[in-house]
Parts: sequence; C-alpha cells; structure tokens
Amino acid sequence: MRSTIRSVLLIFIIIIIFSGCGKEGKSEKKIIIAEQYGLAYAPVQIIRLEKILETRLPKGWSVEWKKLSNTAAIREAMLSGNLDVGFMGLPPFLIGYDKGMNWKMFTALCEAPVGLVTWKDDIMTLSDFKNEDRIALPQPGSIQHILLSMAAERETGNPGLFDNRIVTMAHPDGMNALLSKNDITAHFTSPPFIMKELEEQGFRMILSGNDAMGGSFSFIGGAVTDDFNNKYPEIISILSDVIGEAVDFIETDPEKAVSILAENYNFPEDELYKYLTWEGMNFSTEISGMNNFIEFMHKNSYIKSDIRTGELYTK
Amino acid sequence: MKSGLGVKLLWFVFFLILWEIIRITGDFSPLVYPSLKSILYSLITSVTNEGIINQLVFSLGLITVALITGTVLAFLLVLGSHTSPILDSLLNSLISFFHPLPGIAILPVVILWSGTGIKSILIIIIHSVLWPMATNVYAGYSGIPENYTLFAKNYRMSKIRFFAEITLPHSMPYIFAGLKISFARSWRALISAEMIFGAAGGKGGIGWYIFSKRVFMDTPGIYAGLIVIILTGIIIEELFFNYIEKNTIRKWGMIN
Repeated sequence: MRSTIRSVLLIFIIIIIFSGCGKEGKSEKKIIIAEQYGLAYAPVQIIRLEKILETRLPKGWSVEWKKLSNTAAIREAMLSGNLDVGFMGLPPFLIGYDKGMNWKMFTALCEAPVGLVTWKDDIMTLSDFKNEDRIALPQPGSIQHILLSMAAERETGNPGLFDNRIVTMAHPDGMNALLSKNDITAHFTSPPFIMKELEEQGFRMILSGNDAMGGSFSFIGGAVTDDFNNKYPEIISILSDVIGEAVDFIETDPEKAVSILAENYNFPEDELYKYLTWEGMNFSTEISGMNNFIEFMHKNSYIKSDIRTGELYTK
Repeated sequence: MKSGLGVKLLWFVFFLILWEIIRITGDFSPLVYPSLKSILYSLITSVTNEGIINQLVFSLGLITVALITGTVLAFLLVLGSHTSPILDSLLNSLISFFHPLPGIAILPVVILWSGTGIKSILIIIIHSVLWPMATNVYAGYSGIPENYTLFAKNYRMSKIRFFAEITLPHSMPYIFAGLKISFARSWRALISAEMIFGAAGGKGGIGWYIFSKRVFMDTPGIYAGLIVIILTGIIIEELFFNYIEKNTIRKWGMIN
C-alpha cells in the first residue's frame, strides 16, 4: 500500500513538473514573426532579408523570424506563446477568431492571382470533374479551399461538392503531383507555383480566385495576438509602417526588390521579375474581401459566429 | 510486466481524472486544454454524426490487407533466401537497407511513382510491415534446430511438408512477435500518411480525421481522435493478439 501511494505521488510530481513547461516568460524584449512559403510574402521577406525592422525598433528589442508551413502551425505557436505575429490567408484567420483565438489583423500584404489549374482536356468548368478526379490544395479551411467551395456553390449549388476529392499538399508537392499528370487532375495554388504550372505545355487555369469570389480580395494578411498588441501597440505600428514601405518599394522598384529576393528563391532573377509583376499580383496593405469571406463561411458553417469586420482589426 | 485489459483501463481512467484536476486548478485556454466534457461530447458526435467508426474500419481494413500481403511476401523472401547463398545475402542486405527507413520517409517518392491514391498508402504500409516481418521470420527459420533438418532429410520429407510441419510451427512465436511489431509500425505509418495525404480514396481514415480537426481548430476533436487511436491499440493488442496467442503458441507450450 505504501509503495502504491509513493508511486502515485511520484507520477503527480512528474506531471506537475511537465505542466510547467512552455510557460516561462520571455525575459528580453523580442517580437517573434512567422511567414509562410510563397511570393505573396515578398514584403515580409524583404524586411527580413534587409533587416529593416531590426534597425527601426527601439533599443533593447530584437526580432526572431520563423517560417512555418501552414496557418494551423502559426495558430498553435501563438497559443503556446511562441509567436506574436503571423502572416496568413484571411479564412484561416477567421477560423481561429471564431474558435476564440484572441488576435487581430493589422495589415494586408497583397492581392494575388490564385486559381485552379488542370491538365485534363475535357475539364472546362467545375461540373466537368468526375468522382475519381482529385484536387490538390494546401488544406481544408485554407483560402484555396474556401475559394473552391465558393465557386462550387456558385456553379453547382453545392459548396461541399469537392470536399471528399481534396488531397492536402503543400504547394511545391502539389505542383509536382500535378505536373506528373498522375491522379491529381487539378491544383488550386498561388504564386509562384501557379505561374510555373501555367508555363508548362497543356496546363490551363479553369477558375481564378477573383471569379470564385466575384471580386478582388486580399490574399495574405498579418495578424498579431491581442496580448502583444495591447502591451506594445507602438511596436505593431512600427511593423505596419515598415510593411507599408516594403509594399511601396516592391510596387515602385520591382527590379531592385527582385535582386534582394533572388537569394530567397531558387529562381533566376528575370523569372522572378516576371512573376512579381504578373498581372493580378498587387502588393497593398489595405485589407479587402473580408466581408465576403465572413458571409460565405458563416452561411456554410465554417465559422459559427457572425463576425463584424470592425472587431477584427487593430485600431 | 504483463498487465491485463482491466488494469490498463483503470490507469486510463486515472489519467482522465488527473486531466480534469489539472485543468480545473490551472489557468488554461480551452483551445489548448479542453475540458473532458467537451472531448467526450466531441467523441460522441464523431461516432454518431461524423462516422469516425467507418473511418476507423477503413484504416484497419487497409492494415489487414497490408499485414497479410507483407507476411506472405516475407515468407516468400525468407524461403527464397534459403535456397541460395546469393539470395540469402540479398535478403540480408535488403533488410538492412529498408528496415531503418520509416514509412513516412519514402512518402515523397511513392507520391511521384504512384500518385496519392490508396495504392500509395498500401505501398507505405506494406513497407512498414514487410521488413520487421522478414527479420522475424528469418530468425524463426534460421533457429530451427539441426536435428529437425537432419530428421527431415532422413525421411526424405518434401519441401512443402518440411515447411508446413516444421518451419511454420517452429516459426510461430517469431511470426507473432513480428505481427505485433508490424501492426504497431503500420498503424503509425498509416496515420502519418493520412495526415499528409488527406482523404485518400474519397474517405480518409483516423489520421485524416485528426488533421481536419486541426485545420478547423477543433481542439477537443483532436483529443477525441487521439483517444480513439489509443483505445483501438489497446483493444487490438489485448483482445486480438493476446487472445490468439493464448489459444495457440501459449497453449502449445512454445512460450510461457
């Protein structure tokens, strides 16, 4: 009996020790920022590569950059207190907000030419997809998935039509799978992957993001935890300024932007220049299209609450 | 170190209670540390509305097919390896090449070769079954005492009889050990593959279930999926493997 009590006590102690993990606070002042893969993050990449934010922050502040492969990872890192700012598509931001994450959007990065690319000659519209066709996209709930559902609702009346024909793949894997013309018949993707695919012989875009949405929209935005924003609003406003400058820089001097970004990508500079100035690739800090996403996602139960855009943004 | 199903379930309940105590005493966001009630609720709605049982059966069906295929292949390889020293060295080399390769590591290559359908998932599971199984069958086969072999030679036993009456029964304990390891490995490989692939063949398995809960930030759902995986593991180990073991090799006195 005594040994039982002792072992139960021991287990308790071990668990209590472990439950303390990850709770230690940051001692020095630091902002942790996460981006993802793709050309849409170019303003953030320029800020990181040129160390612009580091030079503009007040004394005693440092910046830590992370690259995460999807928004779920960004949300989880924020919840565990390992991330202050993250960049993502608007729908995953809304899903997090709806589930009770305390965060706000403070900027957009760009509008981008996203779309559905296929190689099958007999597919002209969404209704031409057969049961055995597979569509690759990053994950359910991503902006690509929501746009596909929007288009499916408009063209066929059933937003969930493709939900069981989705294969989740990161953009580079999805591109390889599509180009190998195997069982992935279409790929809903974004720059630069969509451009690479469209340059291949026989690959066509049958649905653009703007057609799916019925208008233009911000592709990527930046979100900050309420914790950080309430504590250091001045840091977020510096970050906003810096992003605004980077956006202007890319729009006014794309050649120079490309020479900075080239080391970040395995592309030749002229190719990167072509992609960065591609039609529909507009860098802008103004958040647009949020209302349309909210309306659609609420109507189709991707989010439960009817969110007003005012509560989503920092002041 | 053998504890029965009842004891394991007792510990399981103990941890559930501990979970609630820590949650109530600590200050956690429900997005990180959901209540037991919300997890149970999520578990129940998954069973009643979302067909988690179907997804589980689908996953286990794939594993059964892979286990049978992998076992047969392993036997063929081992039998082949005993016909010539070249094949023997080939099998040994193959095992040392592929045994340390986790199924998930060959996933990118498998996608390139055969796409993202059920075929690819089957290849990955068979890969995780085949090599541990081959190792064990090989050990069982090689461990046959020389007396038996000489005896068989003396009686001019045919190869088939030798296989059925000496090799197979003698390898039984090894096959069982191999099956258990293979099941654990294939179960893990399948869940990881599903979390990367998504819904292969139109309906995903339990890995896909957890993944879709994650992307929609349904934390109780994630824990519900984990509980289903744990319970399935316990049930299969306790009820299936141990039952068969008790009524075959243990009954025959081959292991204690």
